[in-house]
Parts: sequence; structure tokens; C-alpha cells
Amino acid sequence: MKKLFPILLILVLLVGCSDATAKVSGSSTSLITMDGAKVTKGQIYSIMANQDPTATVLQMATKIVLNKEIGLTDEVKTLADTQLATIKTSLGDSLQTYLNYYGYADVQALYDENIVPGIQQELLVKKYVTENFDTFAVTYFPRKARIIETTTEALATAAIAEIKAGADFGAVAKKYSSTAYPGAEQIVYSATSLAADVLTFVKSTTVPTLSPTAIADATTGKFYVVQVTVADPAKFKDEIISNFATQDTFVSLTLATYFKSGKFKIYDKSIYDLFAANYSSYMIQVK
Amino acid sequence: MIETLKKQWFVVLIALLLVLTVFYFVYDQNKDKLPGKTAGGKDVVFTVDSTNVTADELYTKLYDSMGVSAVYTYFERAVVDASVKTTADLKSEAKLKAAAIVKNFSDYYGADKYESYLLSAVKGVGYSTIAELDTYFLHVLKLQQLTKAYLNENMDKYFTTFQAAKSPRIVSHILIAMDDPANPTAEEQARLATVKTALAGGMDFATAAKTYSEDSVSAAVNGSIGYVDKDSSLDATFLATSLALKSGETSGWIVSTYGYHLIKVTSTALEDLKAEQGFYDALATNDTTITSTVVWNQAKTLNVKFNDDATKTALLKYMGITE
Repeated sequence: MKKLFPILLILVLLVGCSDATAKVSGSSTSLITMDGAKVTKGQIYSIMANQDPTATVLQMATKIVLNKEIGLTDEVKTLADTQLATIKTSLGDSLQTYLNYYGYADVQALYDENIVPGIQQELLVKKYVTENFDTFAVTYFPRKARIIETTTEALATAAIAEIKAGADFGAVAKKYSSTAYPGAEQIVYSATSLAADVLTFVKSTTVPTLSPTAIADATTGKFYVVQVTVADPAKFKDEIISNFATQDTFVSLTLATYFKSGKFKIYDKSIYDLFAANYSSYMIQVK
Repeated sequence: MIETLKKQWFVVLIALLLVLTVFYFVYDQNKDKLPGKTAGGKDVVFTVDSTNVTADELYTKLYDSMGVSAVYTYFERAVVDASVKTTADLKSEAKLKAAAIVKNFSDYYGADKYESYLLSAVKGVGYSTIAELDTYFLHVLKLQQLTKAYLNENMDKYFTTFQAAKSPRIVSHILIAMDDPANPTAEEQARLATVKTALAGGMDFATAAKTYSEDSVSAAVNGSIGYVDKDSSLDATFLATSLALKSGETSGWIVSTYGYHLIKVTSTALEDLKAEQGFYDALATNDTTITSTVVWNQAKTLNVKFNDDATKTALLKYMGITE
């Protein structure tokens, strides 16, 4: 009984424990000293951690995930070498200016910190989209479509009439459409930045179809003519996978999935709060 | 043992209940706290795929992108703090400035929302909590003191170029406020005429501003709005008129969104400009090497020493100082 009370007292004192804060080692080490003052490593860490370090945390965590899931394979090295060669050729004498501007110490740093992770990420997203293709095909409704944008309903109606009469879609687009929509065939899915009614038409189309009437966008006052050229995602699966692999929607979705399966967990309260505010989809941790 | 427990069953029961209560209390108080983690004696910031990333690794990564500016922030703070004594007056002025900022944020964002915006602003200047606003303003006031002393000793080096580029001056005005300045009412026109008549009758501008101006803040100081230059945040017509006048000249009525103004350039003389803190702030803003030079000059008098040459080289490059 005599021993019980001190143990219980210690336990009660533990109640005062606060949320965790990760501290840098050697935090009292002086980087600069002067009469009556000093600048320490701990102070510098504290000020940097206060400036929202979550983008850096995300970058570091992503690198770990990419190295585990994709690694530095021969395929990655070959693609990275090709991309570096292209950059060197296109930048020529401006390469050093480019490195300085983006804060890379040298070409190797650009290769290691930007090119390789970029390729690994694209391969990982491709892998994820491939594994989940059937789900994404019915969730995001990818279609191949051609679009004409006009300023009036009459112009859109005239364009539809000409296409129905057998005119070439590209030629009609050249005649009626804005430069943003030259009538070229493109992959469209439910997260593509298009007028809501255009997306609704595309999503609801299960066979190649020309919009029977002009589709109005009430917010911009523009009108659209849409021709879905391929409505079955299975017929252009590889193109969809390549396209999705570069879209932010699927990059975030992929990384969020691998962060969760990798049991991503934060042990610093202020970083936890900021990360939860900025990248909540990457977290499964509830403290 | 069993016999003793049987005899003391009530004490055992109470002890058991006490233990359970304490355990539950400890659990309940800690269940919402974020746990920490260490690996190899170092604090871990996060884990993913069973890999620990420590605060040391995060420090190294962050230092690559923002280390020098962080070092400068603390360096400037340390130098200034060691160079200027904290007086009761400075503390009091800093407290007033901090309170004014809190009020501004509260008025602008609302009493229930302003704290997160203010905290973000506080973090932006390198502090962690709103409570540190006093400390921040104390630093600002001390730096202003050092900068002013430096500029007064080296004014020849900076003033001529600055004067040509920014047209510094001290400006006063008289405002007749109107709801719709484009269509003044008869009563508003009468108020305009009263001012004109008073000035035509020999009343000096300062007295007229004190008597008739409807800008209560400047009216209390003879109509003075203080230091103005090309970069001042003022109504475009008001600023253009202020800059077009010579020292001692008064404009005709000009119209702004607030109403009708008469503007007078009180002075463009260096000695008068020196009475305005805004003048010194504008000089330091116009040439960012001024603050760096002030800080570095002070640092040298404080026997500054760097832990390594790389930190010194990077810091001086950041400050634009060539040794």
C-alpha cells in the first residue's frame, strides 16, 4: 500500500503530458554567437517549422513511398536519362540559369530530386490506374470527344447542321470555334474542366454520338457542339491510363492510397494540424 | 497472504477502486493527445512504409530552401536586441502597437475569426504566438532606432537619389466629407465656401484644418497626414496632387471617394522630413541594403562569431553585404 501511492501519484502527474513536439537534436548548438546573444540550431528549426513545412513533409514522404513501390529500376533510369538529355538539349546554355532559378545545386540534384521522382510518380499512378481501371471507367466516364465552342446558339446550330450534312468536323471547327476548342479529338472525363452540361452529355453517351442541339453554358454564355467519337473506355484503355497518370486528380488519389497503406503517421502536433488542414486526404491517422 | 487479504478485504477493495479510477483518469486525459516517437535517440516527425523521418532530417531538408532566411531572422533579432536597451518607454510603445494590430485584425476579420489570420501573420514574421506581438514590435522599434541613427550619419549617401526617385514631402489637408462627392448638396457646397472664405480672409491653413476639416484624426494635428512619397497608399488623385505641389503650395479643391480636399505641401526640406518616422521607413524600404548594413555594422561591434564559414558566407550573400 505504501508503494501504491507514489505510483498512482506519478500516473496522475503524467496527465499533464501535452501533445508531442518533435525537436531537432543539438537544438542548443550555437550557429552564431555574439556579445550578449546567440543564434541556435533549435531557433532555426522552430522558425522553419513555423513557416508551414507540410509541403516538404509531403515531398519527403512521397519519395519514400515512390522508392518502395517503384524503386530505381532500369526502366526508371532509362526514362530519366532520356528526359535529362531532352532538358539539356532544349535549355542549352541556359541550363545553369535554370538550375539556379529552381534551386538545384547541380545537374545531379535536378536528376535525383526532380526527374527521377517525377518518373517514379507517373509509373506509380499508371500502376494504380491500371489496377483500378474498371472502377475508374464507371466512376469518371472517360470518352474520346471533339468539341466546338461558339459565341451564339445560331452558330452552334449551323455547325451541327454542316456536320450532319457530312462536313469534316475539323473544318467546321476551324470555321466556327474559338481557338481554345479547335475540334481536335481529346480524352474527356468527369473531372475535365468543361461546362457542366457538356460533361453531362459526355457522361450519358454510351455510343458515338453528335450532340443533337447546341449545349448552352449559362455561366459564360457560350455554346458547344460535342461529338463523342469513342464511348467505350475499353477501346482506348492505354490512352486513358497515360492521360490519367498526368492528371492531379489521379496523382492525389494514388498517393493518398499509398500513404494510407503505408500507415503514414505524424508525431508532431503543429505539423499534424497543418497537414490535416492542407492534405487531409492523405491521412488516416486520428491522433 | 490470502488470509491477510480476506481480513483486509475492504482496504483491498478501496485500493483496487483507487487504482482503476487513476488509470481511467490518466487514459481519459491523454486519449486525445498526439503521441511522440523517438528512433535512435532522435525525435521522429513522421513514419511511412515503416520508415522513420526524424526532425534532424526535416531540418536538413528545410534548411536547403529556407535556412538562410531563418538564420537572418534570428541574427537580426539577436543583433538588434543586444544593441538597444529595452526601456520602459519602448515596452509601452510596443504594447500599444501590438494592441492596435489586434484591434485592426479584430475589426476587419471579426472577433471570432481574427486570431487565425493574426497568428498566420505573426508566424510570417518569425514568431510563434500572438502573445509575442509585443516582442515583435519591440524589435521593430529597436531596429527603427538603429536605422535612424545610421541614416542620420550617412544621409548624404542616400538622400539625393531617394529624393529624385520618390519626391518625399510632408502633407496636410482639409477634408469636407460627402456621401456623393460627384454631386455635392447645397449644404455641402456652403461648407466648402466657408473654408475658402476663411482662407481668403487670412486664416492660416493649419488653423483652418483644425477648425473645419472633417478628417478628425488629421484635424487634431493641424491637418497633417505626415510623410508622403510616390509609394504612399493614398487615393490616386490625392497622391498625384500632393506630388505636383511645391513646398508651401496649396491645391484647389480635389475630389476623392471621401469628399473634397484642399491639400498643402507643408515641407520638402530634409530637416523637416527627419521629424517623420515614415521618412526613415521609406528610405529603408527603398534600399534594402540599409537594414542589412545597419545589422551587420552592429554585429561587428558585438564581436560576432560564426560556427562555420558556410553559414557566414550564405548569410552575407543573403544580406547583400560584401566584406
